[in-house]
Amino acid sequence: MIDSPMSMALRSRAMRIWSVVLLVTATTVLGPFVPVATATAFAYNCDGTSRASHHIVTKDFTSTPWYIKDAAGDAAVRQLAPCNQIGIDVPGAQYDEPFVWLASLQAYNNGTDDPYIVQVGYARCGRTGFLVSCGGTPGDNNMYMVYTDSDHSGGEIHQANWYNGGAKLKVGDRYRGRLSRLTSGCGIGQADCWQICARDITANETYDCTTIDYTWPTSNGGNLAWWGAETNNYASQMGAAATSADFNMDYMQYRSSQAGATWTVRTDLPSCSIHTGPSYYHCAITSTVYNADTLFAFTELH
Amino acid sequence: MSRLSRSLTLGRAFVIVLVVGLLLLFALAWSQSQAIRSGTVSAGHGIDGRAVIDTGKDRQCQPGAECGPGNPATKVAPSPAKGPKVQP
Repeated sequence: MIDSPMSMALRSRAMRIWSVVLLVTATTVLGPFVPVATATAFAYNCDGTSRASHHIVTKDFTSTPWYIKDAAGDAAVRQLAPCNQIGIDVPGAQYDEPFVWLASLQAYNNGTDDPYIVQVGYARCGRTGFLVSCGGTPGDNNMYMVYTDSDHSGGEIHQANWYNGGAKLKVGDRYRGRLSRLTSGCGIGQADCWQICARDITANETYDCTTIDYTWPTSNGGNLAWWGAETNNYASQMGAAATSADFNMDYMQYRSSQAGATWTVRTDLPSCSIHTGPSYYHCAITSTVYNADTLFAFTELH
Repeated sequence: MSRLSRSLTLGRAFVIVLVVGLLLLFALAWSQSQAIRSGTVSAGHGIDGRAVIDTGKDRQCQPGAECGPGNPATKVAPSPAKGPKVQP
């Protein structure tokens, strides 16, 4: 059977069209192959859909007569490495955003922490992909102060533009973050609020602060304070690499709502705990100022 | 039906299937991106299961100020009393 020249020409033209369509489809669906800065130590597929979340050191006030109304902590700022995009996952680095939380405070309401949480800490944004953002944090591989701009968002994280004009943090400097429940001195139109502050201790800065509305069902603060590192993906770095300088979180402290309460530092910590995640996430307690008062978390080479 | 017209019909069917497939893929990619965008980055959900490490000691700072290099903690604080929540 011999095709007519016209039929063959039409088929040839159709094949060319299909080739172009398939190429466009592949490029669109598989995503733009944007080069992502990688650390070879973290050769893991970034296309995770589950967040690896890590509470490290906590103080629980659930069954006490009071709440925790202030929480603060220090950490050295380290260069947090990204995950390593491999393969053709769509789009691979969309979850790449590791955090070090200087202070976190949350309330339990009927047995669940959602959505009541306030946090301050630093992060690196490595998220790439269609319409992906880090809540305003620039994706330039620098560290930035971040926070929750709502106390009932379930932990939506935004860049802390109120800290030092939103400038990048100095790697190596020690920073402190603080969360305080205030009933006076809030912003215009705020009867009560959370005050969220940060400062560079190494540079001897005073606090830069902002306030957000207080909406928790608990009357005067949260039930649980915690300090640690957190990732948005199993592949992202938690804290620092095992071979890097650690962020040695110190002065993890809180203050209760009891009248006359003083700031109180967590010490003599027996251990730390990784809540979820692969076996290459670790944390450790060491002694710096007091016995067993310093925390760091790290990702093992893999 | 001639081979030419049969070929054209098959071609049209293929185009329709391809366009529908493309639209579905676009919709999938769009919904995925939207979900990420609308959620920004959620963190702090890890405190489920109440696996709390709360067995260390508390050291009280000097009254009126946070602890730090210039304001060391002095003594071990008593454990908070247990009981129902009270209004401050």
